[in-house]
Amino acid sequence: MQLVKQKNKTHVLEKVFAPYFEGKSHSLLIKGQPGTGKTTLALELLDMLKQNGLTNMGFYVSTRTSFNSLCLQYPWAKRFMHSENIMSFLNSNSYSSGSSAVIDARMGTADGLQDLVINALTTNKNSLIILDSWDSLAKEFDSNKRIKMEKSIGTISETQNGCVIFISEEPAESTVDYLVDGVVTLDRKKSDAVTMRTMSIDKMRATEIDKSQMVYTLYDSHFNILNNSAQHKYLNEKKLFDPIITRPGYISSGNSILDDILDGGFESGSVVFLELDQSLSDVIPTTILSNLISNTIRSNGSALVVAPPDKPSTNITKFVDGYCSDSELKNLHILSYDSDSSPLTMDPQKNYDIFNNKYAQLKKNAFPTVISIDYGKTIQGTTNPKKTNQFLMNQMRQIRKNNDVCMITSTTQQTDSSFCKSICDVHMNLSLKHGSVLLQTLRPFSGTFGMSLSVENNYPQYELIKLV
Amino acid sequence: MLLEKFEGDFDETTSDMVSQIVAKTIIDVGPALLEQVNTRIHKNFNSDISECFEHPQYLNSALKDLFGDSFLGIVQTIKLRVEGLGLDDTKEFVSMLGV
Repeated sequence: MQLVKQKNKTHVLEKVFAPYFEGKSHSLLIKGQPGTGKTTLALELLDMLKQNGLTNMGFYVSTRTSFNSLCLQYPWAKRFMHSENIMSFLNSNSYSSGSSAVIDARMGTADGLQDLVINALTTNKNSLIILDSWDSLAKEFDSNKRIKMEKSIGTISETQNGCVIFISEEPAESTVDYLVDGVVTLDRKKSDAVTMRTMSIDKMRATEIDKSQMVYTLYDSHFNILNNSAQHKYLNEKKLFDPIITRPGYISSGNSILDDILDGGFESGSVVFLELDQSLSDVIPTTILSNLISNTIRSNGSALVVAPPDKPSTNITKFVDGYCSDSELKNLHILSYDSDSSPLTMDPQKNYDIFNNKYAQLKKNAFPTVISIDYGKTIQGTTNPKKTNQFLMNQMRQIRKNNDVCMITSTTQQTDSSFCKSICDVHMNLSLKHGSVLLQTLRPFSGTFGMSLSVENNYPQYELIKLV
Repeated sequence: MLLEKFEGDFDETTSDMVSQIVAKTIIDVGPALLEQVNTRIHKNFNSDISECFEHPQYLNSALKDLFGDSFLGIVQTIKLRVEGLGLDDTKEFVSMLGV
């Protein structure tokens, strides 16, 4: 079996499973508790294999659901499954070759089903059969007969160059665990109002496994494995950032999905607190910030960034330069320790004056300004929390009065940022789970989203997908 | 690093910070409730949320009137957030707020 790779297809599911099915693998066991997405994964795999010409014919054998309810839950499955291809024990040859068939096995017997499965595999070379669920089919057999049946199906699948996907809700290892070429376990845990789903690859014969645990979401009835790339791909050609026009009274984040999550973007006059897990790559918050900046300066606004002492101003400019015009870049002002004009110094009072003067200068025009400050490294320069909070109070007053937006970033280790958390208008948290970046909107609470970096439009941006 | 300039009027800052926390906590429960609480404090005590640090009993009374027993949850959240500031001069406010 050779997978016909489609150009530019970067679907993570394909990245993970294509090498496995490209090889000589003829069986896969998908395990997990009810509601973990076993059926979704199996149907996604069937779709992927059919789209890539890896399988001629797909059979979905169901012991618990009808074709109609399957289509209600997975409307996208209608693309490769048709009602005329529903098979039952009475009309097992009614399907047309090339399409996928649903075998309604709810009223059948295990013996009858065994014949049906073996018949389907032998009369259709290179086909894929999903047995959903194998537990309910196999429970009618004693252990000897069960092993014999599993071996028969496995052998026939191999000789016919086909593949069988067993779905199981049995948490303990069973005979089928040893017989199949690959085992995938799906898990779901709920914590802090977040449903965290993880897929563990327990074995995949003859396939190199880069990462054995991945976070996934069942958003939109699809099996979406979160992309964990923490770097933007190199761009040969840069394109101007495409600004988002949001409704009056709001400043766009520069990301349409985040704007939707926040019901239109950041409300003018907002203080946004972005809390970061310490293990996160700088690229992640910098991309969020650069999208906000690019969108603002490309919409006639201005941006004022107070760079932390340990980061040069190029950290920001490389994410904006080339994606905004030269005239627009004049509206980006970075206060940094390595700046040629008015650099920040080790004198905090002077720094504060530089900041205030710059902000006052920017406010001579009526255009909105976005401000970015690193809390831990820039604001928290004193052991007296009152001084820190007083700075924030003054800052927030000005931001709200001027209808601007201030984004304050801080690592989760900055425990004394509690005041900022208490009074900010938007509180977001960025963390890392199994290598995947998660964005949680805590105020207003809108849930948790998987975040991945992208350069799809020829500028650095990010994508968000809700964890459900 | 930008802060050393501030030396002055700390009591006012604490009062501002506490009223900001109170306002945000009430908004978290429901954005429209802030106006109701403010109106109630004004009607009963001719004051508003900006003075709640000096008069926690006004806030306590207004929350109790408006939310009944569930005022305890709101007060608890306010207390936790104010305590999070780690400021000595908020202790009296926290104890007078009740619960």
